[in-house]
Amino acid sequence: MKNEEEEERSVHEVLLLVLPYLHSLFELLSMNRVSRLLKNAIRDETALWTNVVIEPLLSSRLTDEILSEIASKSAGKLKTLILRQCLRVTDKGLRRVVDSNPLITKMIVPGCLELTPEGIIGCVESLTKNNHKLETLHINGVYGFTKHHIAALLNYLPDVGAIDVEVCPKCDEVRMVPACSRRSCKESKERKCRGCRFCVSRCVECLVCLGSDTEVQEAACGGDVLCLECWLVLPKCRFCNKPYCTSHSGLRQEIEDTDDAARPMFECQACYYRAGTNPYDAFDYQI
Amino acid sequence: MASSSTNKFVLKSNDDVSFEVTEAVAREFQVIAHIIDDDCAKKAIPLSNVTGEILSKMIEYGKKHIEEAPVDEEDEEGKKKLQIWDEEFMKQFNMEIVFQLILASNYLNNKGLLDLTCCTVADHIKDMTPDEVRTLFNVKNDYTTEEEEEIRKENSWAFE
Repeated sequence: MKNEEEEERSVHEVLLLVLPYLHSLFELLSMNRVSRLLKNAIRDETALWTNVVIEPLLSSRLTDEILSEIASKSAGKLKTLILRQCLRVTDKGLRRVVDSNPLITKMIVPGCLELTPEGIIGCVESLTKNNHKLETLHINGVYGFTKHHIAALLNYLPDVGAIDVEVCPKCDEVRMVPACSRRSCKESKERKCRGCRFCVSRCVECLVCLGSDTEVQEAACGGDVLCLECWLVLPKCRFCNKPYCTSHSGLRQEIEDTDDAARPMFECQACYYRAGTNPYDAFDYQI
Repeated sequence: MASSSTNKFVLKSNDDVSFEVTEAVAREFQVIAHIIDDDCAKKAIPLSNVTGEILSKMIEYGKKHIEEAPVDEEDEEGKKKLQIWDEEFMKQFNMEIVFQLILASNYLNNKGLLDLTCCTVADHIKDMTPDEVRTLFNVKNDYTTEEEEEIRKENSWAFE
């Protein structure tokens, strides 16, 4: 009996140690439902609530009220707020969280379409009061930012690189300007290839700039391009010989093979649907 | 540094298995480092909460991280190599062993191994239902039906 009790205690101990490593709010909420002991532990441990990460699929369900309730669980000690594509969170909702959690150092809100530049600048202003420092601000995909907004933000965030977007030196729009992975570009101070993805074409895998002197390969994910090095190592569609980039690798239509030793094969979606080579359909190659 | 590579210490598990390790490896575990600093490591150091099986794995991890430590912060290649080794290292264990490793690395205070083992479990249970988590950890459902209903309501915005 005693052994059993001991085992139960150690199991809970393991669970408590693992909790801070859970990736997002969704997982934390689902742990709530495991047992009462765990639920109480999660409620009492305010440190677990200092990083709030809300990602799809939960994003679209998050309203201002729920956000405010979740943020309050850290008892004002919220440090990292990550809201990815939370389409229902408004300026007012975000501001309420910011005002009651002045210790936020990372505010990551990409693709939160209800937010506006003015609302975000207001939050940043509030968070940088009293010498508090906001270290990271991600706003890619929030509409309406102009270079004047970015200039205003830089008054509060003097660190270069604290904001994920900047003014593209080529088209003057506010966009992400990726760092080039080419060695000669990295070393030169006045990087010629600096520009957003619309102005400078880049390998989607390694972000190297693709000038006229480099060989450019097409990826199976419409319109994306790859450098030769990345193209060579990626697995390719068995028909058109185009690879998917890593982030689109989920689009592969894997082909079942009875021989386990055979290399896994796939078709890109275009070939799969066009040729009707679904393995369950009989396909006559002798036309 | 020269002395720490020649100094040897003996760690003894709770099932009486002894391991001789260099000082550098012993110091990977903070609790043992304190024992050494307090000059209490003349004889074998008894570790009452760790079995020989687990301790041998922990020493393997400690050794690797001493031998292949990245040269400095900028040594991306070294870091990557160690990371790949970590992944392979974790693949050999079932969850039962991972749980014991978590408790032991918490007890002996090795942050790297605690991070690694906890991340492994967190990844593993990421997409599990509460029921599956209960089965894995052998936890009893101590909620009454009413309480379950209440929690369901409370979190209904997220799950339904």
